[in-house]
Amino acid sequence: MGSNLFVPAALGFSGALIAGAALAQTAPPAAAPASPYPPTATIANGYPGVGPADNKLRVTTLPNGKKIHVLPATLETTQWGWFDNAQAPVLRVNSGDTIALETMMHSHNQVVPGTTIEQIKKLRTDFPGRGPHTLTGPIYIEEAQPGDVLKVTLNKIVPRAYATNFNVPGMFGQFPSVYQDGQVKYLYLDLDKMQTEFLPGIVLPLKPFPGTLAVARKEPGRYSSVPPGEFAGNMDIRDFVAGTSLYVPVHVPGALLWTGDSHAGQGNGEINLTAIETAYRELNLTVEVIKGKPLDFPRIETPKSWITMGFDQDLNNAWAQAKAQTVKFLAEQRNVPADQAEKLMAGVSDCRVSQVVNVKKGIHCLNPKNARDKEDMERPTKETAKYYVSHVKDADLNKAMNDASMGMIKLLESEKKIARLDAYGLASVAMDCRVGAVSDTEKNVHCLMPKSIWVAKR
Amino acid sequence: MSDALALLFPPFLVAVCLVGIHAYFGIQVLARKVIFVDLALAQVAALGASVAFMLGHPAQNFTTYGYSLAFALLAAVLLAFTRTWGTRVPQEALIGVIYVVAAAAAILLIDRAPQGAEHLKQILTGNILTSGLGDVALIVPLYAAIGLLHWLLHRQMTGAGPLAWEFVFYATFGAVVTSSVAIAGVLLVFSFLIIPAAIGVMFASSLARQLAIGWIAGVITSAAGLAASFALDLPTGATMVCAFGGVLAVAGMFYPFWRGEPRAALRVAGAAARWGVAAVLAASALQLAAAPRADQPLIDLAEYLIPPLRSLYLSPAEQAAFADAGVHAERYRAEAEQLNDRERRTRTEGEALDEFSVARISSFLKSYGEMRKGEQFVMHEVRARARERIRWSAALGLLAFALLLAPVPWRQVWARLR
Repeated sequence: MGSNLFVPAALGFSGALIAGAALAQTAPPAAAPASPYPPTATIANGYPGVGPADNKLRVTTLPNGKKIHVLPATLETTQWGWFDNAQAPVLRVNSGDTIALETMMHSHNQVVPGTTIEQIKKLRTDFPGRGPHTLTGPIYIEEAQPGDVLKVTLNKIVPRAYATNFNVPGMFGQFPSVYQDGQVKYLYLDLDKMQTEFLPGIVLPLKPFPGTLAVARKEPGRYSSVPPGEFAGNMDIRDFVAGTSLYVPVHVPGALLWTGDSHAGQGNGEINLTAIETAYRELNLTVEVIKGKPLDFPRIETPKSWITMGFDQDLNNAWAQAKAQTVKFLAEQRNVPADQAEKLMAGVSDCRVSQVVNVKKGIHCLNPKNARDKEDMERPTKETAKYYVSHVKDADLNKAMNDASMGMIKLLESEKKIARLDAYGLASVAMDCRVGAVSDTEKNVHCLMPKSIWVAKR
Repeated sequence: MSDALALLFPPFLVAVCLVGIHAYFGIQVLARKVIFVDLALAQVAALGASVAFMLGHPAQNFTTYGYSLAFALLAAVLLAFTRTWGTRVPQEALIGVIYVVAAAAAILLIDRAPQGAEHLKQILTGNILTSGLGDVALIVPLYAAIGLLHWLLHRQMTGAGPLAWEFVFYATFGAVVTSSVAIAGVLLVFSFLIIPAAIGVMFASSLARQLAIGWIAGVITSAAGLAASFALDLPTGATMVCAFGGVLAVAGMFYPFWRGEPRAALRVAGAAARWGVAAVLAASALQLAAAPRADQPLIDLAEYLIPPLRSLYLSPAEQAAFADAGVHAERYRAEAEQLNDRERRTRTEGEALDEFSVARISSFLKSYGEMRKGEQFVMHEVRARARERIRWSAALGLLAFALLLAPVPWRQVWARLR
């Protein structure tokens, strides 16, 4: 019964991906042909083990000569918690090809009643450095060489219809010492309305984006999938949605592309460690190798903006890096000197705290493509018609972010009567923490919670 | 089959011995209307065993048995006196008090002991499956001696004589219960005591016939319970208790036919069944109307048996989402099963996987488990939302169906209303 159902499931998945991938192309799509290869979403035929590219993976050619590859998530096509540039690729593609891939959830099974903090710690310390992510890849891009830039365009993202949000008791997240108790929340994702009910009467819009999209590092060895860096990785930038492109410097031949940590939405800050965590039925992306235009740090292009970013264990340093990247970008874009670009940044660039839970904290800045525009610079210090607001200024950006986040949690608890773990979770998935005015002596963080998420109870 | 017989025959012999003596005592306690005296005695004996356990004596040990017996004899004294106290307060109430106090004291004693929960479970359900011919050799002489004593003193053991004879009754009963509880646990011993006796009393009036019927019913049920626990891989004691309960229910249903009133019995049975079904339907209707997202056991069962029923209230999109989630839940289950199988095969047939690979598989198993749970959550949520949408119409339909099924004399009701 089980295997009888399983094979059609795998066939159905692959067929759906092929069809979806074809539809996502601008060129006239070819009818999805019957694949000459056996389904690879099934593991019923045995385990070839993690090894070189699996020639059974499906591929179809479009009229424009480009190819669509289908990459299901299985034991053979996914990696567990590491980036390792010696990892054999699971798929080889050419620049311009499209990949329709599947992703898996990372487990939160450690958050179960009765599990002690010591046991949870042991899970981590038994495999030091390992991240929790299940990553699909690596994908080898034939033309990519060190010094090139890889452009990855997200054509379409189709999540599965469920997600979770959780906090690990006493570990990780922004406030592990405050939250010694944990909670797991399952969410039904209404993919027609693209929304989910987080709590009765609180409905969040869904904006799926991959928390992690990475190329291999330059350095050999295994590195945790948790901290982001110049290879992109676990950026958790919620504006990296379908229709946007990541530009990331290539460090090794073939670039080696991974993705995972699939989100259906997230707050700026991701303070309880998790977003609206899901798995993707399909992440449809196109890879292009750009030569002769080197880049030292990743950037994201949206229809209206360019996103620059910075990462560091200290949020002050992350801000400094994001600022340096932004100034550099503005100077290039507008052909102005750096000091002028720095002044310009304060008026046009919208910087937000991407996350504070990935070992290296992240700040990203949205910069308008049109030189006459400016981004959303709203930085309220008290409640407005649209937002509940928690605002803190401090010389230390870490402290300002901590206090502003906790201020919003307390506001949710006291004003909106939301239970403490639910408030922690809601702030993690819906709060928008923005960097305000920054000087050497005073740094402002404004955490906003949109009032629009409160709807009439069903 | 021979292995099964070798495993089950010794406990079956023990069960036969237990049925033999307990059916007799059961008839006695039914006559005295002190039904729960066995539970009280058994629990007091178990309290004695718990005291011995806390003092460091093994569970199956002569000293432990001594503690149990001493406690049971003390309880026998108390029980003998409850007959005189029972003039104003029913004797069963006092017996109940003895039971709950003994149970609570046992819990207090072993609350902080390592393996305390396991000990409590052992007290309740025993472990008759591990009993053997050694136990038979121990209990047969004891039960035979007590049986002989009761046969010789049957005129004095009526429950109406002097308190001394009452004490002898409870003391011998306590000695039997002490040994049987150590083997079979409180629940099964109570079943051995009351159910065969009740069946005997139901179908016969003389002691000899009651005993014969009780013994036959007890022995057959014990064999069936043991076989079922073996075949279905279920805990033996609990399975046997349920088997005894089932047999009593069957006997109860058969009783009206045996009394020679089959038509009346059928009529009553039919009416009871219709009321029962109508009540379940009405309760389901109310449950659906009041809490459509909560568990709906009747509707779930109906959909499990007839899956197309879902198409009556799920929209095409919901049906597709439900089916897709079901297929993927199955896919993740199969993936996890394959991984487990792979790990097992490498461990037993080939080169064992290295620690990292095992941990990697473990991580995947967790992820697959999580994703399967997620798909099941989607199925539940889709169904709950659809049920919420149709709650009123479906509840009304179920209520109407319940009214139709209920054996209400509609014509008479209508006539009276007019």
